[in-house]
This record gives sequence, C-alpha cells and structure tokens, in this order.
Amino acid sequence: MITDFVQNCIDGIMVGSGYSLLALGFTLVFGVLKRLNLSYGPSIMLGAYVGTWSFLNIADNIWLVLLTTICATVVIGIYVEQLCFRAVSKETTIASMVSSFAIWMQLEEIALHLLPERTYPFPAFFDSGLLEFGPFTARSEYLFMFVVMLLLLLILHAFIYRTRIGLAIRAYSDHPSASAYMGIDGSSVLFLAFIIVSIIGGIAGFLILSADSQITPFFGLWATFKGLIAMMLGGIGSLSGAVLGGLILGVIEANAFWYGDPVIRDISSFMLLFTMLIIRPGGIFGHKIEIHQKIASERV
Amino acid sequence: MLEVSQLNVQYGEVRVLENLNLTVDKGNIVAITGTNGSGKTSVLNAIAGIHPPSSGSIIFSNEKIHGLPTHQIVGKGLVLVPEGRQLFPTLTVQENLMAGLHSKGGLLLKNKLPQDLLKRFPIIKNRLNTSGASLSGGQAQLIALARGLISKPKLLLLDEPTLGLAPIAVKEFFDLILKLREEGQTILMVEQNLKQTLEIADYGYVLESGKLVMQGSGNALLKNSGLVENYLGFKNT
Repeated sequence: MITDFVQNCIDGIMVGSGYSLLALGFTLVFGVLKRLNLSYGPSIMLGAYVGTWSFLNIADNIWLVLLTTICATVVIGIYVEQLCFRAVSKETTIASMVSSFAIWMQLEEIALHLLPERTYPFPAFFDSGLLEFGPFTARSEYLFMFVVMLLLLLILHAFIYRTRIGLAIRAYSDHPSASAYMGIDGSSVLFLAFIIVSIIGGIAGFLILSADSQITPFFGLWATFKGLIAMMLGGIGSLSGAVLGGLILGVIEANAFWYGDPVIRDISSFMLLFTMLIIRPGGIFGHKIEIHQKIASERV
Repeated sequence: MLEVSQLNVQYGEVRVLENLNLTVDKGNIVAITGTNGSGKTSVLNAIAGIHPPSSGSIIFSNEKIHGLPTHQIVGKGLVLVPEGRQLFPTLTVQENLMAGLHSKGGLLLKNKLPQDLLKRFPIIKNRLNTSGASLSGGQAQLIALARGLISKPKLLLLDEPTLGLAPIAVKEFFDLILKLREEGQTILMVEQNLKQTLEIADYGYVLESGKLVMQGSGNALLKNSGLVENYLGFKNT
C-alpha cells in the first residue's frame, strides 16, 4: 500500500516536472506583465508542430527537432508579444487576454494547415528505459525531464536574482514607470521576457511530447490547462511556486489515477484548483506576495 | 549644462507649459517654484522624457534630448527622483539602489554598494534587506535620493522631495542637498517648500499657469515683495 503510494508520488513528480516547466513560463509572463497570456500553450503546440514537420519532411534528427521546436516557439512568442501585448495598451488587461485567446484559435488553425492529420509521431529524445531504485521505478525520459526542469529553475533563478537584466525585469514588474527613471527600457524587458518564456516553452514542449511520442492539436489546450493550474497552485509570479505547483499537481493526478479511475485524474486537478482558490486564492507562495504588494501599494 | 528654450507642453487640448526658457549651470541648485497646477512637475517630466514637449528644445551637455525616451536620457546622466519616491515595493533597499545603476551596464549585480554612498546615507546599512514597502516616508525619500545619486548623474532632477515629510526630516533633507552642492552636484528641483528652497537655490524660476512669471537668484526672489505677496502667500520678515 505504502509502496504503491510512494511509487505514485515518484511518477507524479516525474510527470509533474513537465507541468512545472509550463507553469514557469506562465508565471514569468504574468509576473512581468500582470496580464494573462492564454496563447502560451498553443504557441508551444505550434512550435512543436514545426518540430514534427521538420522531423517528417527534412531529416530524422532529434537535435534538428529540438532546435526547430525552440526556434519556432520563440518566433511565435515574438508574434504574440507584438500583437497582444505591445500593441495593446497596458491598462486594457482584458483586451490583451481576449486577443491572446484569438491568437490561440489562430495558432490551432495554422497547426492544422501545417499538418492536417489528427495525430503525428514526435521523436523520442532517447530510448525509453525503466530505471529501478529498490522497489521503485522511474522512466528514464521523465527522470531526464525532471533534471532539466531543476536545471532550468536554477539557471532562471540565477538570471533573475543575480544579473542586472534580471533585476531590471523584477523592477519593471514591480513598478513599470519607476523602472524607466532608472534607465530601464520597458519594451526591451517585455521582449526579453517573451524570448526567455518561449525558450522555456519550447524545451517544455519538446520534452513532454518526446516522452509521449506523439502530438495532436489538443496539446495547446492541455498545456494551457496544466500550466495555468500549476501556476495558480504554486502562486502567481513565484518561480519556486510554479515548480512546486506542477509537482503537486502531478502527484495528485498520479494518485487519483491509481486509486480512482483514469477519468478522475483530470477532474482531480480541477478540484484541487477550486479548493486552492477557495482556501488560499493567491496560491502556496503567492499569498505572501499578495500581502507584500498590498502593503507596498499603501506605503510607497 | 541644461538649456530649455521655448518649451511648450500640452496634455491633449490643454497647454500646461507655454514658451518656457530655463537654464541650469554646472554645480548650481536651480529651483522651480509656483502654486499647485502651475506646471512645475510638467517641466521635469518634459526634460526627463516622460511627457515629450509639443515644441521647443532641450539641450543637455550640448546634446539635444527632447523627443528621446526616458531610459536614453537617463543613460546620458540626467536622473529624476520622482514625486512620491516611487521605490520598488517588493525589492529590498539594496536591490532598489542597484536598480539605480542599471544605466551603467554590466552583466552581474554587484554585491557591494559604493562606500561614499553608505557614508552619506548611514540609514542604508541597517536596512539593506528591508523591502521598499516597509520604509517610512522620510526613509523612503532618502533611499530614493540615494538611488538617484548612485549612478553619479551629471544633473539630478528632484520632484517635490520633501512632500509629506516631518519638519525635522525636511531640515535634514535640505542639509543633505547643500552638502551635495558643495561636492559639485548640479540639481534642478521642484518644491512647494518655497522659503527653504529659495534659501539654498542659486537661481529660481517662478511659474504660474504654465508661464514663467519671475526669475532670479534665490535670495533676490525671497526679497521680492511681489513674489511674496502674489505667489508665495507668506510675509517676508
């Protein structure tokens, strides 16, 4: 019984590392812009479609697929940034969200035109293998995704908290007009944030799809749901929160799947989100941020 | 160092500054005074590139800066300490100060703040890890000034720096401004605290409804009975 539970938690953490990667992108954009980018998941989907297209039409080379997936996601990210966020006034939060939803639909259409069949193969990064740790097991491709996620978290944390540009991003996120007085170019910060987020998204999409070995147009919707739920669980605007939220979501889903039913797996993630929104609306780490910002707006 | 000529600023249909001429010489404290709504802050906003002028020219260190975005103007050594301090609330005091060094370039954040800054602002040392939101008004104003000075700007613009401060904090602040002048810092400040401002200013400009109505040395303006009666609202003793 305990062994099953621990094994479920290991499986959940492995799968959840993919959710964490998606949540990192969502939380970074929301943290900087204070606006929701609904087209983030579909951007990753279309980027991965371009990767698959290169696999089917150019060469059976996994590095080429990785490169084209990341590059295409970055190009789409720039397109989204220019159309939904740069062109739309900062004050009209709803307009940005609605236009990012419109782009979601547009990206799905483009994906269907690029590769019209419902499902396509996505090449595996390396041959799948089952690693044994005593009574427990882990799939090698998921373990690899977990390690990459931790590495990306460390790199992102160092970038945000140890570099001049990282401080500029945080300053812009905190007080956009005051950041201009420091010589920070808000447009460049926004652009850079989208590039970073798109690279993370491209890597996330590649690793998740590589582990699943297939891609469908529904991946955009799936990535949006999982990323948003993980971000909300961990706390909006918190890097550690995004990672923790993704892992918790993975563990809950894995246990719901094992002890309940495959159908319950997705229902459980939404139930978890509702519960969190009622008990702690700001998420695990976000609550602190909320209080902090409330004090901030009152005093400074 | 700074030369503003025939400056006009409009907010939509409303003209807030009309044909303003203003000069700031190196090493001087220049004050812009006037009643509420006279356009004082609009002058600083136009110079700092926050609200570009509709016409006129702004020359800083022999370079045209009108029409440039704020971040580029900061890069040229002209730094604004805005009204209301505008510290970064969730960043620590150290990070707030480091943000002031952004225009200096570099990849990694420095771990140490300049010694001369720590000496001039002893308050910083004990509050390095305090968030910007947790500071009192007086403390926040000092940190905002330190953040403006950290990049060693050629010209420092101060917008209502003593607004909302206790009298003792106001006095400390003006003492600090005088020390900065002694060290050669050029300052253009907008203040409602007219008497104290004109006492320390080398030169002053008085605005009313967006127009320049009086100018002269700080002392001369203080002695001007017309200014005292019509614009400052206190009796010269």
